[in-house]
Amino acid sequence: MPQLDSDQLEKIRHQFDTGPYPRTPVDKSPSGDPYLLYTHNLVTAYYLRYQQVVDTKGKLILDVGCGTGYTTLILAAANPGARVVGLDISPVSIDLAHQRAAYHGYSSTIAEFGQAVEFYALGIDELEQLGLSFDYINCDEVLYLLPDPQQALKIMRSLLRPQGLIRTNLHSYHQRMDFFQAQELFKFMGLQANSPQQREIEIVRETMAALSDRVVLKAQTWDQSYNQDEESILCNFLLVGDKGYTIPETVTMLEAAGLELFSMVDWRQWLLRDLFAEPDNLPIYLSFAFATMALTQQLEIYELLHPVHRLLDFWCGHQKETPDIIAVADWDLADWQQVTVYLHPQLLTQEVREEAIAQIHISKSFQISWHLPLTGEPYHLDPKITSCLLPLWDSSQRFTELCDRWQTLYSLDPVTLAPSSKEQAQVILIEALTELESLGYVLIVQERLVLKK
Amino acid sequence: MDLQQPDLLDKLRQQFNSTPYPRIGVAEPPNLNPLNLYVHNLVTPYYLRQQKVTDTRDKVILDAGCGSGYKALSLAIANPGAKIIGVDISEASVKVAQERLEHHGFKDAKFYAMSLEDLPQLGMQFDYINNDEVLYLIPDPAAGLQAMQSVLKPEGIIRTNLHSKRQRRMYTRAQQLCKLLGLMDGNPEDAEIEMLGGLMRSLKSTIDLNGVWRRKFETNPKETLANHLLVGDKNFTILDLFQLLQGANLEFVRMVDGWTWNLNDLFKTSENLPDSLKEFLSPLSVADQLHVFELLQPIHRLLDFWCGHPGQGNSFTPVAEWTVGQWNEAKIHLHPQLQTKDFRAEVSLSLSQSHPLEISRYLPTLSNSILDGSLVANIILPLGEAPRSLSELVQRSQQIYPYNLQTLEPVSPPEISQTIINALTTLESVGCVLLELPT
Repeated sequence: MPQLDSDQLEKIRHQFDTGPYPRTPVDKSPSGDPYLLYTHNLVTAYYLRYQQVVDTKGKLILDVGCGTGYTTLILAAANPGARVVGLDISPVSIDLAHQRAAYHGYSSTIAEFGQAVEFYALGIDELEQLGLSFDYINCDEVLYLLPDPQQALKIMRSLLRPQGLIRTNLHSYHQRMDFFQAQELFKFMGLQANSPQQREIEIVRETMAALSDRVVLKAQTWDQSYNQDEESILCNFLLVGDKGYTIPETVTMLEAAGLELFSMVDWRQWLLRDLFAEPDNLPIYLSFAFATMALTQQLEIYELLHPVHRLLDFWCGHQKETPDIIAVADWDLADWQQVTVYLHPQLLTQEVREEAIAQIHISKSFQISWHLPLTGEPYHLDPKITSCLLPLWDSSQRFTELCDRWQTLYSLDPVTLAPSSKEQAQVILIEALTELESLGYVLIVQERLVLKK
Repeated sequence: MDLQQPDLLDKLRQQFNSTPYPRIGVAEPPNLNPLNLYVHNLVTPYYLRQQKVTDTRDKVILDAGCGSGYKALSLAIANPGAKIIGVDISEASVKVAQERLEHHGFKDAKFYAMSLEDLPQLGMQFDYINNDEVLYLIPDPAAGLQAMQSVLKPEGIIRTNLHSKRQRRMYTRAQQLCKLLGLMDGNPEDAEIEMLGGLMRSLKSTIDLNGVWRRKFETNPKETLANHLLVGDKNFTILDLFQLLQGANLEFVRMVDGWTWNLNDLFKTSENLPDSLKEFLSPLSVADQLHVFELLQPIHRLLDFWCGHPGQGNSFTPVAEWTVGQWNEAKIHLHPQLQTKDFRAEVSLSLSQSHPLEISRYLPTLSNSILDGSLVANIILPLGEAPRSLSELVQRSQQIYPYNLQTLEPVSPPEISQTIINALTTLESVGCVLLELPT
């Protein structure tokens, strides 16, 4: 098992023992944030890579650097029936994480339906002693702090089961440049010699107050909110060991650790076409270049043009495991005849179902984005489509079954009143499902891709 | 040596052979901008380093990377009586430079086509080397700097500059993008400029990299060749700069635009800083002050500086710390750049019409500075005639202004002396007067 530099880790442990992170109140529940649950749901990432739907029951999930356990709580809530293990080098943080999990009714004893939440005050390189391997590893806002993130990634990969997935993130070099410059200044001023605390926060504030407002570094990094908020000063101006990465650096590091990036977590905010005024009318050399580029090159171009994301937040997995997937938009009718449609599990609640039914009854469109905001824009389902998809709340449906249901519901063409054809039903449903799939609300699985267990 | 390096050098030679830079006709008038002449005047950095006024006559000055010789012409004008040598990698550029200097009457100037690394082959030593907008372009800046160091006289001074990494980060990103899109595989020309333009015009206007650059692009597309599409561009921080100097066995003298690197200017009131800041700032070395300035205010495209052989600078007492005894011994000069007919005419006019002298028009290191009539009459006017001692200036002042302008009491020589010392201290700090102590 590879080892991590213990000196550096000791500093980080001290930092988080004195100021456990995050300072989220113990009674705060993640249930009010469906997007957060969606991104922490193993089903989401697994589908993006394998075009398959997995059952979270019995899965083993690791939360590396769980701090006071809020992300662990999200993971437990997002993955019913999974056993979630939280890990942090700070014993003080782990104590708080225990309290949080208990408050929300989670126990370390594996319940009948498999659910369990447990915590260990251990470094990741000590995890071996538990003798566990994982289906999903979450490592949020941790990697960029470590002395050797590549080593940490290697360790995580060694704990990852075949087809297991890792969600982790790094600070963006390009987006965060001003803050790195500020950190360099305050480090030079000696404010990072020990774990920065009250005195150091005060010096940051005094320095910024003394600087004239037209000074570039102040204009780019400072605003009034920092005069109230201490945690943000620590995280942005005084973060010991903070480092920034570019996309190519990230790719290189993953490669060296035997891993492969397959999607950004917030991939909807990384689409090159969104940067252009008329994305379908680009200079030919550009549309050609973009069409032939690998995902990671597209991401690199995005960050060079528009570095607005603080985090490079991504999913990765073992190398050479990505199957040959055909995008749903490229399927032909024969492909569609062989598929099964699932609603994303995050939508499978009684509340969402009742709301859908209520809208069907009054013939109004159903604002699915209100229950699960994925794009930042409101998204409405036509009542006819909602009616047709209603069985998805009970179980997955074959595409052919949904077509039959459409024909039953709408047996007559609404204009000609002639009997509606199977072809019409297929065209309408293919269009609707393709869009819903691309947005992430439904998951569609091809028979030929069902994994041999 | 990197295998690609001769390649890059060839590219540069080709580029500048096809269009010698800058593209200014041989017969065009020289750049007489006072600031331009001030920084090209050897007297300026020599004084900053030695607290001595040097004579430019018979000094040997090299313009390393002279291009089409427009700056070599400035050097010739700013340094009367000096011998001008120029080298450039491009034969075509050197030819234009030679013609230019001859056309403007500098028949002694000599130009050679060679790379910086080959400088020792000239068999000459120089009092001053100007190396402007060159070092960040060449394959091996450290080797270039070392070559210049090897042909520098013991007390000689090099003026050179580097691109700033912090100020130019947008261009670095643009260059990475252009590389990814294959626009910098060869020597970028009109086709590549047009492809870059196509990209910029297609982007939404809110896109980070697009904002400012698009507008600039539309006004001067060719400028992208020196920025977005600059092949082999290298960028440096202040820390890199000092490391580079150390590697070349050179010592930092001063930033050429030193008056724009003043930390005090970055604070609302520099007198009333919190103790934590005062404690931090006061012991900082020159290098560290520049480092902090750069972190706070990365606005300089160029890190533009003078340097020389280590230990060759005079260790002298800064004027602000002089004793009365030192003041009494000092020889006071007006900077030679102010000893022009134009300036004398302006001084007389200001005195005869009793309006303030706008000295910043003649020496732009003083931003918006104006001098009141008594200072002009007491200091600037007599210094324009010849170097003076403090007692001469005091005497003269007592003759012109025998009474205190408020109380109408007779003024005492010590009182006048203090006023003049205060004024000279300020004028010296902005490079307007030069103060010499006897050796």
